[in-house]
Amino acid sequence: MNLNKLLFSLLILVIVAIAACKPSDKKAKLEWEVNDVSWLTNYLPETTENKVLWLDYEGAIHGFTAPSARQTDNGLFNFEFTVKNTSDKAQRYYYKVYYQNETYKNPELGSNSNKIHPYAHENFYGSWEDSLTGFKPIGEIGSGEEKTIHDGFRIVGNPRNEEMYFFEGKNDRWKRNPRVGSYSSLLIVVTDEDLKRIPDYIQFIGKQSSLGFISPYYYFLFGEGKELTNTFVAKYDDIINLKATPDLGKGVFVEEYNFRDNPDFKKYFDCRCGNDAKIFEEATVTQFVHYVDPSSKFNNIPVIVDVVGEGYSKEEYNWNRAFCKKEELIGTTPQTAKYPCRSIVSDSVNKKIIIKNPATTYGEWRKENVGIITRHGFTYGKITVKAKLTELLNEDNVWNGLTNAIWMIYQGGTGQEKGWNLRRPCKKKGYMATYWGGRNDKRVERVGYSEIDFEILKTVPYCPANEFPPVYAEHNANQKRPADWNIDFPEDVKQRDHEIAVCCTNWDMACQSPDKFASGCNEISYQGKTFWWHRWEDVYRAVTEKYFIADDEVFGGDYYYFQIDWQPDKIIWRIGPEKNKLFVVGYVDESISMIPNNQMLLIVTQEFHNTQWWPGSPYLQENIPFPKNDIFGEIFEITIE
Amino acid sequence: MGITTQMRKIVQPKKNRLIIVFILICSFSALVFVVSRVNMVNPVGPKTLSDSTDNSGNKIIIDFETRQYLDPATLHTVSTDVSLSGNKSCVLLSKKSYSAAIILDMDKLNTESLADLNLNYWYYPMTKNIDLMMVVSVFDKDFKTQLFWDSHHLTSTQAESDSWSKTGKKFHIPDSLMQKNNKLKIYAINNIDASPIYLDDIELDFSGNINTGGFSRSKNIDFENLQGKGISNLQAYQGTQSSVASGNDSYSYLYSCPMSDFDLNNADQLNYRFYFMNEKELVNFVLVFSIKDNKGNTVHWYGHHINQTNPVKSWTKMQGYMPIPTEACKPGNTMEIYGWNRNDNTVYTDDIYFVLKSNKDIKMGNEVLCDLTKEPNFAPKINQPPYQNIILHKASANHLWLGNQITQIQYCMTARILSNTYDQVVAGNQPAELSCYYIENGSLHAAPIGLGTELSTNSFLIPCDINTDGTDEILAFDNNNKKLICYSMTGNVKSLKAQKNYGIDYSKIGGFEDVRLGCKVLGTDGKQACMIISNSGKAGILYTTSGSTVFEPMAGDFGNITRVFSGDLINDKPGPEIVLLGGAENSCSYSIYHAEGKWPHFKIASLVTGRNGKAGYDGLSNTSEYFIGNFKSGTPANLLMLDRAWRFDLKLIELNKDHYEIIRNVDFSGFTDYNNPKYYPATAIACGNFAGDPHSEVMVFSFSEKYSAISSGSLRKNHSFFTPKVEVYEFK
Repeated sequence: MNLNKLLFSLLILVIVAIAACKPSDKKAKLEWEVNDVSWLTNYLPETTENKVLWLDYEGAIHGFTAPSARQTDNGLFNFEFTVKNTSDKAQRYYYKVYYQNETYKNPELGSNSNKIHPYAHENFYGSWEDSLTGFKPIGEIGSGEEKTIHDGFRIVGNPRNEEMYFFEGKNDRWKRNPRVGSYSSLLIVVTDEDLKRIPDYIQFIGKQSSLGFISPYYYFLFGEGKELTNTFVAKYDDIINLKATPDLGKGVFVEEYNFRDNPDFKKYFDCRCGNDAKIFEEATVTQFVHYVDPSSKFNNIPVIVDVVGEGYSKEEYNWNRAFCKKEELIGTTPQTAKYPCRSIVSDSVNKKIIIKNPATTYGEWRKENVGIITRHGFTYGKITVKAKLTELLNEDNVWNGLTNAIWMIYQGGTGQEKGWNLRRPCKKKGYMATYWGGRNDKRVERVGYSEIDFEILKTVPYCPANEFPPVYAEHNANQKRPADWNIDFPEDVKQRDHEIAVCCTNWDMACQSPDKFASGCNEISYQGKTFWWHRWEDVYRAVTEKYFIADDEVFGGDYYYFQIDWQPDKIIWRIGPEKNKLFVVGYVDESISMIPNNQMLLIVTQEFHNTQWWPGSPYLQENIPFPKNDIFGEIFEITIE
Repeated sequence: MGITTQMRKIVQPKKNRLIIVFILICSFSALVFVVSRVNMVNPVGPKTLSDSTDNSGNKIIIDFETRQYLDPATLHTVSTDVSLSGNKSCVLLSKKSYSAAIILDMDKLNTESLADLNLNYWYYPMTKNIDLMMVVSVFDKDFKTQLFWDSHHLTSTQAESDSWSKTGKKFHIPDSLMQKNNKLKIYAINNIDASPIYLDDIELDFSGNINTGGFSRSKNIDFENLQGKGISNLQAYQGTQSSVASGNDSYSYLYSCPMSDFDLNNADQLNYRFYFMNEKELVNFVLVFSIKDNKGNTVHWYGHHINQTNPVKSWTKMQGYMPIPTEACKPGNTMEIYGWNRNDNTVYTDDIYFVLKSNKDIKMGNEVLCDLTKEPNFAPKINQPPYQNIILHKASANHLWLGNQITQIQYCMTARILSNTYDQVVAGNQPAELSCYYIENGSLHAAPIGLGTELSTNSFLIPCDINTDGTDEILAFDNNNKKLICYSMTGNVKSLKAQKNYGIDYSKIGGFEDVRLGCKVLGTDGKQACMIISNSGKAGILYTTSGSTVFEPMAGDFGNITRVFSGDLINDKPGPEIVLLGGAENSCSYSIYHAEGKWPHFKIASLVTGRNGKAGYDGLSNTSEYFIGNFKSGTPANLLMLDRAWRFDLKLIELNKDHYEIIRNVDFSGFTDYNNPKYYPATAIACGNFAGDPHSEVMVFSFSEKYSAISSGSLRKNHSFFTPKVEVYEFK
């Protein structure tokens, strides 16, 4: 027998020994039974397969509940079960139901160990809405008798009733809304004896152990609770699947704070756009107002043209670039709406949002950003947007200077409260403290800022590194030689002349915890496709991947789909002509970039960037004319699943 | 993208507007009547006040800028801390403190009006508490006996601190006190401690009724209850509104008031004070006072320029004064006051207070005077890029490709050789190879019309209906052979021929050694002549009469003239004008001449000479080419200036005898094969009524050197780039 065979035999022996020591099934030891368990007895989903419940947006600005008062007869999910005492003595019993979002959760068990996963406490689980209620008594059941329990629960935000989500004495459940996706339930029935062995922080989910919150799913399925000998534990998967789709025809709420410098900001208010109580309750979106960095100023050519509509050739671009005098240029920054409700319409008939970048008139030079932001935050989800945003290139493939963006950003509070929506701690070097603080910003363990982007514009690839930046020939304002000013793009840029870049970005605030954290160009694979991800330097706060596609394909049709699939450990960006024809254009996971875990909102915008943000871009914002006509975009549907 | 302002915030409750309550309590009314043995009849006849007093209105405004009328012993109370107008005011710091005393000799007052004294004054409390007594008294000549005493008692516990308010009272002074040598003494007492109060612009009016709604010689513009562009309720120094100008070269609310609203007698100065607030530190702002006559012409313009770094979001006071020319100070004129913001800042102005004065009232010195009317930098802004675009659209007429071997043309002129109702273009590189470009049945055509081969290439051509037959002849001044040859066109467009009418030795005409410039000249009856200029600066008019060519020399030296063109440019003069442009490149000037009388006896008279061709940033250039066309209905015609010094730069200009103004930048649309005429290295332009419609068109010849055609600029295939062509454009 050689050494290998000997080691193999020893391994088999060890496995057999461990198996022999494993306790037998607890249920087999119980001298009582739990039978006839039924969930959601008062709710009939559309189909029995998907068990979908669309979240009710009525009153949801204060937090979603599932079900809402309108969705079941009593505003609860009813359940029932029967306990039969098969022992020879009467016993007292207690029960508790937990629920947990299974689609977007971290595993309860850490990798390669029986220890709890470090992020298991972040999972969205709950129980009775009143977290001071622990196990409910069933009462005493005599020997051979049985008792059927009828009860109900509902899924609410801030299920642990954590203080951090309270503001001015009020439990702001909307700050930790229920996650979308599939839910499981966990039914626990215990006897007197075992109940005493269950720690308070499991009986009462609002309480914490010395290590913080402990997931009851971990406790009962993998932890100490698994050792309770006189306890019934059963997990039921897929009891309900929550989805959300905001009604875009419910009006546009205006945040007064965003227009605080304009006392006349209500000038264009109407019944569908404003800040009255009805719109506050009903509207699912707010007019988004960009933060404009004063340093993003550029000197624009004094030309007003409908680039996409009426045409603007490369020769015209080149001529104006070469022959505009310095004193003719218009110093400006991207601008934001002075008056809300003028550049955004909520269409209640077609349940869509229409946005428009307003036209410029001579002397009123404007490159004005426009967009909407949702009002109901979620953590994780597959966020899909059906939209017809403006075309970016004209028939000569000249860019109109706009960036179509579908992106997500961390949610803020209603007041000065801080700390309720921070990302999980960054254990390695910390996060850059601010979004805007530059490369020498201090680092902090926790930060609120998170952002996940689709930014779609005319720019060039950063990767592979040896192809960046493109080498553009110097132009020379020599009217005697058109070839001096009418300069063609380099061949590699010309090859993508009709294409736009779908830029997929995760703002990880330069947290270096991921194992493969790096800067420069790097590769990552997902489902057999390889993506180049790029970070400018170690202190750069975001990683970006770019996918190039024809402008006509994405923005030439009646609509297109954009999807950010935000999961606890990864983000997948998909686009496609139909919802069932999406394809992956970007992929980032926790091995290369810290995935945000705080609650975020969705934004859809058409915005003008200073192209200094996008080095190597063939067209510079300052050489692109001001828009002559309004530039429209339409958002038809948003789903969060 | 990036950090956002979408976070919901608690909205701070809007600051409540302060309610200003002034309680005027007249608590003392005393009449001291001293029976005197002195004759009760006014000892003096009607008199005016001293030379600082308004003759007709009998008013005095005491603004503490000078010592005049002030008791020297009380001048220590004059302060420069705050002031309403000018730099100074008077302060009453503490309880029982007195203001500067105003002392007037009774015999210098118009005693006919002395019975009633309207006393109005402005006050500026530092706290909410006011207890002030404004005293009017009469003393004997030695100030030993007080003959009369009355007061206006101003009290409040809710006064608006740190701001100017006004009040007043009517006092009655018995006639019996109007004795020579008696003195009128006016002063104020502060009755409470820790509440300093300032006084300014105390107006003594011995004629009218008390006026609490505004001074006839002053005005405070607080922008309340006004609406329209430039009014903001975002910021206000007092009240809820102000005037705002936001962005580079933006203007705030234009406040307009007739000068007849004010007492203009002897007014030759305007003292003002205003407050401004800026959103960014760097302020470049001008508060403009402009006076216009009843035709809207600006007769006086003054700007108070603020060009400094200033703390943001706080109100800053500015003050100064401007002289008002006598001719501007007329009741029919209108004063306009507005802010002119000159950078990308946002500037609010509020509470613009001004007082009309005689400059004899106040001697402030000239150190604060900034007469911006004499500063070219602050002249009303015209000819400053960027200019609004106007588009020349390609007309329905087709284009013509020219041969690739043609890289430029030396001759390109508008003429009427085919018809007397519409124009054609005669163009070519040398006289013997000219072509006529014309529109017929909506299509552009070209027909050769080579002049005689006897002409040298150093010939200057002028189309002109010199023989008054209804179509143009071409006058060819051959500078090599010193000959003028007149050609008439015969035949039809398919076989046009240039027939030589006559040839004369032009050196015998007025001693011309050559002809380098010239243009057609129209008399008031529409008949034509021709103006020519030689290299040596001689000029004259050439015309024919009774079959003879006549030359009339023009007086003067035209040696610096580089451009000549004619057209009906000026509205208020019948007939066309001749514009001569010349001078050094950076000091170009223009003169305008006009034909007077009927042909053949018209004279060329000067309308304007030596007008500056550089008004504003961009000027007329003596190297540019000029074209005249009727691009809109009627007159005056418009001027196109093509400057190719650095780029193709075509501008539409309004020119008249007073000034010129670049009103549009001209670009093209609908050009053939994506090639904008402005891209071409060489371009020639002619304007005329080529289509026979009421409007002028522009015919554009575009040429390219061979090497220029090697363009790499476009990704479009199968198109000819920079192929020489002719196109017709029009304004729509």
